[in-house]
Parts: sequence; structure tokens; C-alpha cells
Amino acid sequence: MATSLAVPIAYITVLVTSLAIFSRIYRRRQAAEKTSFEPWFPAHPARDIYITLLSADPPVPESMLKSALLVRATADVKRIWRIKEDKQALMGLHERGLVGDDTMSRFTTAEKELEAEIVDVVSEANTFRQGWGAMIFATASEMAHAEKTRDTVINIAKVKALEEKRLSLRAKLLGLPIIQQQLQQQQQPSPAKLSPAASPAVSAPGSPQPGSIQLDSGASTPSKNTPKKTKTASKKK
Amino acid sequence: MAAPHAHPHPHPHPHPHPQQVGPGGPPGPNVLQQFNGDPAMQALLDSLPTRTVPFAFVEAPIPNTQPPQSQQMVVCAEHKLPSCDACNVNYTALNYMHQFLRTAPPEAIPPPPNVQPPPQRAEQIKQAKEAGNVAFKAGNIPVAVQNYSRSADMALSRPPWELAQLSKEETSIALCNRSAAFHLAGAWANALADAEAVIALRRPWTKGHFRRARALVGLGRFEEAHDAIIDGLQFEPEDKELNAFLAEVDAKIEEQNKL
Repeated sequence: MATSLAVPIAYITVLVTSLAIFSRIYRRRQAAEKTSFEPWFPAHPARDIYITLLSADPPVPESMLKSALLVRATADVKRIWRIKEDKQALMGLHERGLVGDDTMSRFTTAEKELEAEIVDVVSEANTFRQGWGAMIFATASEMAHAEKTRDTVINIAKVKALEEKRLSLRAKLLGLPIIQQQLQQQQQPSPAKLSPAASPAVSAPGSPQPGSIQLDSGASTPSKNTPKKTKTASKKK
Repeated sequence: MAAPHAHPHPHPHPHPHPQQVGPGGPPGPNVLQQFNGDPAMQALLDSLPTRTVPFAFVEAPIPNTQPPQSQQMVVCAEHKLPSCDACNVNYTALNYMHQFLRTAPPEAIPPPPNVQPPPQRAEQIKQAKEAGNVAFKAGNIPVAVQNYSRSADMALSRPPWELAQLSKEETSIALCNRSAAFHLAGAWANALADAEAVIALRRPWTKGHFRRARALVGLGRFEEAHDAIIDGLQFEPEDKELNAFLAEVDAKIEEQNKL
């Protein structure tokens, strides 16, 4: 008699427990999946630096804090540009069903975060001086543009190195004439070293035409050029 | 909290701003009040992860100052480097900005971009460029290059809060002239690199495209020179210089094809 009751109770208990465990694990996984989006922007180092400096124990000089806040605002300006760019592309893709809802929700979260971040920077700026918050992003946007200019100029050296590498490769593959040209540019031997027969032939295809140099009129004649080549190459960097 | 500068050091870490949530609210712009009244946004802000970055101060000498001066620089705590991969920090931008703010009086903030900058620097930049032009005309290419580089450097080291457009234009003019000087010296790789920078800075300016095309011709890459000119003509189809040069380049391409 006792056994006949114990078996169904055990059966039901086991069933209910296993279902409960399953449901719990399943739901936890679902929740984790929903919240574990990779954030749109990885991290915000400028913000970390500002907050660290602000809460540093021996107080940091105020000019440093202001600089840190400006750098943070500049980073935010770059994010604003990026968000604007991404938004158009994403909207188009989402409408055509090429991008899922999860990506869109990641994006909206990022947008909201950025909005909060901007408001926070504005209020921080106002703690330094009332009214600075209204101007800080105008300043930061100029800073971001200036940084772009600086990056472009710094990049020149890289472009130059790349071109020179390409030139030397070409020289290797094509043979003598370009090697000569190469010598002129890179190692700047004295012009006497170049054989007189070779040098005019080499410079012929690309020799500068003084008439069309637009900077100044009558800049120089080719004959004036030759000694200069040597000097310039040394200070090219 | 009547002090104009009520700004709590040490800052209570993740972001409550006690002095602003106080009674009455700040007199600041309405966006601020909105924010303080919006707990959702505050909560969102607090939920953002932050990392405490390791830092230390060092006194670094400033180059080219007489008598030698030093400035405070932020570096990573362990290796004393302004940009450190091991500590995953980069204080370069901060230190750069601090150079400009360190001598300012405590209450000072950078002026808004529409304030006219003092004209001295523009004058200096122009002078350096003129000196370069004179050297260029006299055929003294090294001096010309040096002066153009100086002009570009000065344009780049304008205070970053000034109108960026101004520094961009000055830089591109100096670089364009430097490209011409390099071209005359036969340093085509340099000329090409400079011309490409000019285009990146001011795409609609035909001179940059012209310089690029000339450098490419110097390198013997006629097809690319042709494309560079076409690029430039998009912005000003009637440009005489470019059209003339296009004819020249096309003639060269034909000649090459005949061979």
C-alpha cells in the first residue's frame, strides 16, 4: 500500500524538479544572451583617465583636469561622427532585413550611452566654470579636426617610405635606369658620380619642367638643378 | 555651494554629482536640469564600466627653452611612459593638451572657436612661407624645403582650440610648395607623399592634384598621373593648368604605348 503511493510521488517530484532546473538554466542563458552584446564602442579610455584624475588622492592640478576633460570631449566628438556615419548605413541595411534586431538594439544602446556621456561632460565642464559646458563641444570639435590634420602630416613619412620601397622594388625588377634615379634620390652621390651619359636619359621622362612649375615663375633651369639634387636629398626627412 | 568652483576632489567615484542634485538645482542650461531630473540617464551613466588607470607625474624638460623649463607630464605608473602598451594606457593627447593649458590662469578656459586668434602666428607662418618662396626662386632647394617645413610646423602647432580650418589651409599651402620644391630636386617619393597629404587635407583644391600628377610623372607612372588629373578636374573642370598637363600626360602615354 505504502509503495503504491511512494512511486507516483517520487515520479512527480523527479519530473517537477527536472523541469524546474531546465527552465531555470534555459532562462538564465536567454537572459545572458540578451544582455551580453558586445558594446558598440569598446572602451572609453579618455573617460577613464578623467575620472581617475578627478578622484586621485593628492588632487591633480586643475589645468590637467581641464585638459583631460577636453581630451574626453574630443573622443566623444569622434564617437558622434562615427555614430552619425553608422546610423545611415545601419538604417538602410535594417530596412532591407540585412541586419538583425540585436545589432540595432546594440546601436540604440550605444546612442543612448553617448547621449548620457555628452550630458555628463557638459555638466562636468560647468563645474570648472559656469557656462563652459555650452562651449566645450565646439572647442572639442575643432580639436578633433586639428588632430586629423596632424595625423595626415605625420602620415607623410609613412607614405614616403612606402613609395621608396616601391621604387627600389621597381628598380630591382626593371634594371639599371631606375637604379640610377634611385641613387640620385636616396644616397645622393655627388653628381659627378653619375655617368654623364646616363643621367640625362634617366631624368628625361620625369625631369621637372621649369616652365610649368606653378609655385613661382622662372624658378630654375635644369642646369641649375643638378648640383641641388645632392643637397636636398640629405635633408629630405 | 556658493563658490563658483564647487567641484569635489576627491570625486565620489561612479558618478553622482552631489553638488548639483542639491536643492534648487544648478542655474545652468536646461539640458543640465533635464539630466538631473532623469534618473534613467543617471543610472545608465553609472552602469557604464570604468577602469582606474595607473598614472604618475613626472617633471619632463621642455626642449628648446632658455633657461631650461620643465613641465608636468602624466605617465604610466609602472614604466613611466606616456604611452604604454603593457599598462594599456595612452596619455599622449592629455599631455599635448596640457602643454597649452599649463601656463593659463586657473579660472581660464579655452576660448570658443569663433574668437579670432592673435595675428602674430599667421604672420610668422606667412613669413616662413615667403622665405621658402624666395629660396625656391633663387634655386636654393634645401633652404626652401626647410622654410616650408617650418611654416607647416608652425601651422600645426597652433593651439588646438583655434579654428581647425585655418591651420589646415596654412599646412596644405606649405606642403604643396614643399612638394614643388622636392619635385624640382628630383625627390619624387617625397613630392608624392606631400602631394597626397595636401589632397587628404583639401580635396577640392586642384593644386594638390596637380602636384600629385607631376610627382607621378616624375616616377614614370603616367597612367596614375592621368587618373590623378581626372580626380582634380572633378572639382574644377575648367582649370587651365590641369587641362594643359592632362594633354601633356596623354601625349606621354601614347608615346609609351608606341614603343
